[in-house]
Amino acid sequence: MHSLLVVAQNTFRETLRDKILYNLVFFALLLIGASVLLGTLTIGEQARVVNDVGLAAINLVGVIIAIFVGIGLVTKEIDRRTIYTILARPITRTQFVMGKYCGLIFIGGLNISIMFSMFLVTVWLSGSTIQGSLFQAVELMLVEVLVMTAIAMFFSTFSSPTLSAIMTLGFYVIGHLTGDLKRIAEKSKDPIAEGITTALYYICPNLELFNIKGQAASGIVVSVDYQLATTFYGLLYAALLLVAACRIFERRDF
Amino acid sequence: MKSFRKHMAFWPLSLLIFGMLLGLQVYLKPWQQSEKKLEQMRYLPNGEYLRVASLGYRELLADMLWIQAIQVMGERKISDSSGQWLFRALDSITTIDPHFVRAYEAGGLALTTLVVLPEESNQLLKKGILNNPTEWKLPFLLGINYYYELYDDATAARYMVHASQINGAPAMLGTLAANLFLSARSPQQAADILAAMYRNTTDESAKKLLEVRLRLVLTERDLQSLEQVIAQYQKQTGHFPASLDDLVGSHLLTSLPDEPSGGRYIYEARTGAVSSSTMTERLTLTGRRRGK
Repeated sequence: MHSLLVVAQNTFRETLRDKILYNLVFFALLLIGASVLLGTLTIGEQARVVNDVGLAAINLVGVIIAIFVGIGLVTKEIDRRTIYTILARPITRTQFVMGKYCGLIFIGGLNISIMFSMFLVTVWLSGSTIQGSLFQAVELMLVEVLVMTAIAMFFSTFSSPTLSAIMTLGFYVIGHLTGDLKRIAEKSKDPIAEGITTALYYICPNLELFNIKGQAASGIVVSVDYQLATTFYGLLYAALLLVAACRIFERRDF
Repeated sequence: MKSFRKHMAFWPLSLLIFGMLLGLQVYLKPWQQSEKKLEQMRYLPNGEYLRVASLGYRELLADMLWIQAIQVMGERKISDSSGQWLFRALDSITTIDPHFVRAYEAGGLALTTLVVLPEESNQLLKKGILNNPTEWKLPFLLGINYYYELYDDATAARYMVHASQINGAPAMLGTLAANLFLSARSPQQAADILAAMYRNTTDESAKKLLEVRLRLVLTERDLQSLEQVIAQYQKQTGHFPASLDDLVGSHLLTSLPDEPSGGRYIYEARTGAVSSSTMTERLTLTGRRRGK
């Protein structure tokens, strides 16, 4: 456990030094600020626009960080050959992968917390009420980031950063489309297409489950059961990917 | 020295490139402005595709399109063909985010005020009602469209009833629905609405007002049915009845109705007109409509 925490701490520090992280936070803050300006362009829906833009910015930046930092964490160690010095110490490969993952989710959590705080200030400054639903939406965004980080880590244990980025982004796109694909296949009434999309629907992560931004922006609170079940689904999916990532990394030769 | 020269060359070169960029921007601006904002919406893909392509950022996309659509609504003149593009944009926005109530409300209004496209406005509002059954303003606006634009008072009345039954709707919608039913010559339905409102009201002063209104509506209902029977009598015999009792005698009526306010029905045998001793004016809707 101690070794895992050391790796996590190092990953956290290493990523904090990564300048892209600050740029992305700056971008999110800028976007949230711009949401106030966009709000003035609309009629009577200022609160909605501020909420929509703010939540979308937090979500987008959170996912981008998860993907683009996550895909490089393991390969960077291999490229720099620092992996040899790390694994020569009393650290198992599983601890290494899990430590990297934990460090990255700390970073993701910290980023989302900063962005969410700024967003709440923006909402408050724009004269809107801070709804409880916003907290629910951000909690599920955090779970989505956990899943995306796990996907990125999984691919980064056996492929190059470019390929990992492409595959993780692919998963992100499919994860948001599975529901629609299934509906389209049901309409087509082609048993093969329906079978493929149904399989994709259950195999790929259903990221749309974590998307309650629309309800949150309108102040609609989702049920606690849904919130808990979706969070559990996300954690379970991330756990599955991490188990696979650890297994692959255990067997990998450098 | 060499690096200083390099440093010195950097600024003029950057300024020159920046100046050229500005010049090009100014040069290209007329091309960009030649096409009206609304016509640019023709390139907008189908809302279903946009919804899928938004990858979970539906509301953000709908907001961006909505801000674009509002800029279009602010233009001075909008032709009917441009109105069609506005409808398409509104349809796309509400397909991407079916719960964007403001887009239905403002869009529905814009399609009948900035342009005259009542069918498209109704289509948008009906879609809004389907996706947002708790919003009373949508059936209310649809009712207004049927009354003002399409002169269909019976349908207008039905949508007003629908709106009045939704939580948060103003109480006057029930009375408005009753008036529309009267205008559609369905006085019994108007009376039913008022009777229901009377039963559900606890406020005594409101109850009194409703009672008076209900009596007037019932009188109007009797007058309309008497007029129908008189017309039928005239069709059968070729002349107006000498008195209202003749209607009972010819078996067109089983009995003459009692005047609800305690007065009596006055019959003019020469013209076949019937009126009430307690009602100075017949109940009718006097609102303006498009083209009338």
